[in-house]
Amino acid sequence: MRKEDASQDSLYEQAAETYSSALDRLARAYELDAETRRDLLQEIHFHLWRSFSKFDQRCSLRTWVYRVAHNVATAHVIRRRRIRERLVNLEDVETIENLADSHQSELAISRSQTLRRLSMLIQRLKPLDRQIIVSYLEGMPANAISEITGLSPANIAMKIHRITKILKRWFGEGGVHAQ
Amino acid sequence: MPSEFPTNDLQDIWQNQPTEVFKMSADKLRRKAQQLDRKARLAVVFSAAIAILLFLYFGWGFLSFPEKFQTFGLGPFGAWSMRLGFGVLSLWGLFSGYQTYKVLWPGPAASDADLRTTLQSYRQQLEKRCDYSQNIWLRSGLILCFLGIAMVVMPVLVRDILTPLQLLADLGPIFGLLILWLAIFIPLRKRRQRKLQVEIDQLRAFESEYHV
Repeated sequence: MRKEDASQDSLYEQAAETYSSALDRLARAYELDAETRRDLLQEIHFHLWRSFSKFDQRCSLRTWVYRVAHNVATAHVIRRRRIRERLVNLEDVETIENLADSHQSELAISRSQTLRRLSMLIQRLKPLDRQIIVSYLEGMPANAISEITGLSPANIAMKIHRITKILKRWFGEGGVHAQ
Repeated sequence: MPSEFPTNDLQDIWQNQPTEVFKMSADKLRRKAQQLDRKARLAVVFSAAIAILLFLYFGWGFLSFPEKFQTFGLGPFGAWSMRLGFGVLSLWGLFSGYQTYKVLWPGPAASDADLRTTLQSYRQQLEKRCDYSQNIWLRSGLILCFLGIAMVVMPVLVRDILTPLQLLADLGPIFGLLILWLAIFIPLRKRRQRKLQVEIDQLRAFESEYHV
């Protein structure tokens, strides 16, 4: 095996080991259907492995992994959007009728219900806002999200501020049961 | 008890959701890459074969025209128009084969999901689609195809213009299909293009507004 191939393989193995769960969650943010999600995940891993032949260490491994994964998932959304519902910007999220249940948001809801609603909310967002909300939920700081998306840190901070406001409104004052 | 800071809860719920373990060895991925490349090359060879068949079929029409079509009752102008039409269609066969090669042949561009930030990548994907949709007549060689068809059909149209029933029998099916195709294709293309353009404009405005 060539030296470059070995380095590509070992980088991929390291990334797959460290970010396996995160990549699965990311795929869930882009695809609800389990079967198609598996294909998407396979595609993400495949592109990730391929991309490591060009990895030049100019950004961290995490940034690289998320960048590639989001780009592959975005391409997936663009390919499939014709058969999907209309996607909206974060600012227009109030127009999602099915989720806008003000009564429920005032009550405490279970973790599984919360996760389901959160997934549904994410699925309806346009790719860029989806990338930001997923990165935020993964607990990344604004500068890391900025490196992945290409938006300025100030802009990310503003978006995150909006996201937290929206999430508070949607999942609301009642909070989440620890069950 | 409900928590006091729900968004932290949400991060916790998101990060601790059940996930599946997905594992693929690097060797398996390498084999998959080789398989995909082989498949893509096969698809190109298949399309090239179809393009060559089209080229040969219409080219044969062009070359053998005098013997074959003299009995059609076309004047010399009509005969030449039809003959050149076959020639144009033959060139279209080659052009469409080349375009397929450009799109399908696996090269370094196959993995274009890296290096760029996701914003750039997203906008470029939309722009690529929009550009193709805007220039579809050129990109897919539809101009050549329609020019060829028009040159082939025109002499028959001129010949049959005074005998409507004959005209209907000769060209009705072709025009029927053409009208149906145009009625579906044009509005669909316009709608898709409009949507893409709106989204690209939104992204550009967003980038310039926030100096991304």
